[in-house]
Amino acid sequence: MPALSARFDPDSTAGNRDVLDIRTRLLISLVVTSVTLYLSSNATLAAMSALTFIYLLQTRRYVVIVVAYLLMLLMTLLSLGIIYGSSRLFMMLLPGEGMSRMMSGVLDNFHTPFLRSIPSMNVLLAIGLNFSVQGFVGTMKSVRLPRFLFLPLLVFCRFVPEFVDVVRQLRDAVRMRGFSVGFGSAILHPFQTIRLTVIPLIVRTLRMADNLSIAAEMKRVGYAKKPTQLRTLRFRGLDFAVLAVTVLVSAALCFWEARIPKPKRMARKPVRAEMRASGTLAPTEIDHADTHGRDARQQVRPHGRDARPAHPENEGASK
Amino acid sequence: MTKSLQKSQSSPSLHPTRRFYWDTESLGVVGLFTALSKVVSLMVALLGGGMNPFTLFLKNGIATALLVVLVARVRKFGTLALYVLVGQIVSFLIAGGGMSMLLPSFLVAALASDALIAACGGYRRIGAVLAGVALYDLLGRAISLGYSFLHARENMAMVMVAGVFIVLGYLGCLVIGLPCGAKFVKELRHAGIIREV
Repeated sequence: MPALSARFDPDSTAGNRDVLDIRTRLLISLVVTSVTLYLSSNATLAAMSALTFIYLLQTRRYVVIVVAYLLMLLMTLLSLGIIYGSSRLFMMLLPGEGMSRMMSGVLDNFHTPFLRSIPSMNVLLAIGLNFSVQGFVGTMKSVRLPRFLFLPLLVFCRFVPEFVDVVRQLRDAVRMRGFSVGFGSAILHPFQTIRLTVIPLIVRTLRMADNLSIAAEMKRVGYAKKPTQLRTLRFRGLDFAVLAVTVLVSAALCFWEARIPKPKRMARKPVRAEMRASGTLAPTEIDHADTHGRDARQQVRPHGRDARPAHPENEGASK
Repeated sequence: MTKSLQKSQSSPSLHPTRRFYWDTESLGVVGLFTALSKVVSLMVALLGGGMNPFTLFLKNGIATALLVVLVARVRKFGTLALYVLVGQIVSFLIAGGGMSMLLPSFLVAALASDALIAACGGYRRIGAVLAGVALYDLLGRAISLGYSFLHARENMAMVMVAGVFIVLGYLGCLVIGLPCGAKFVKELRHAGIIREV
């Protein structure tokens, strides 16, 4: 009968399941989310979403991916509902032309911020679906984080799985005392709920911190300059290739984005410049046009015999 | 033999009297409170929906109360900065790389708040701690609003609605977080969990 230690195989640890190094995935996440923030047209954002979706499919966790997308759709609809409702509320509470003009376009271009969230979600899911505490701790060791960052992150990783247990114990303790804690009691008795849940949680957390710090001191965690590693992480050819492709694709999308004309901005400026040059805009109207360009374009008409048309397109029509 | 023994005793990795500015207990407390703050905020947000005003109010209040307890417990210059560093690394994993771009501005906000606490009489005074945490929350929300603008710049009305929700969150910090935090610190001091060294 083999000993328990005989079952241990370094290559089968959770950190080695993934075909890519976790640092590669983190770098991809950083590049994609930064580039996505720059992109603003539908075409480039859709292309980035599609490419990151292909990258996500590599994890082969299709059910989780479908559930994540459905959840995102639900949250998007919820957010839209709340935003639309809030805008109506603001218009009721603060009546006025400025507010109604601002809020009437609350759902214009609403898809762009949500389209921008899709690539971020894809790269994040790709990290999350391959995440393991052991792999994360190994990464932190390999990048040689300083002690003051390594220890809190280590404690963070160890605490999150414990938290479920802590909450269960707290719920049992509250029930034994004859109280019930839920969404209803949080609304009806917020201070009592906080007192019953948060204070015991803080006390338990502080005690846990004491125990963990004693354990870390006993094990001398964070004292060794170069900690011993069971399996050293290193970049492979595939990691370099994937990173290179990510950078190239991101650069191409940025270039594409820069080449796409911005129709609204292009249309407004020549109109105002033309009106100023032709003298058809009175001084007060010029001020008005500077602040509310769209209204001024609609209201100001050329007057006088020599007045030129306000827009180049109208010039041809008058001839 | 004696030489090798002396060498092993004086090696830096085993030296028993090595002192750090951040002791292990403080680092453990910072890690645990960062985790607690993230998990509790996530739980409250999931219970009531992302932009539900009531849960937004409660979530920010609880996070601020926990931050007050953390600063009152650790009592070292740079506690808020360390909290931000750890929190941003975790956010990088939870929310992707976008949030990590805010690290420099959040770090400046945390250091300014630490400086305010030090200037107002130090970490032993609860008033100074509350002022520092209030400033940190204010600066943090201003930075978040800037990020919201970057993310949804095509629709200013949406940014405005987000701004109103951020203001609502800050009100939660002021109305629930700071008073509750002060009360928690008082109770924990009374219980001897926050020690008066």
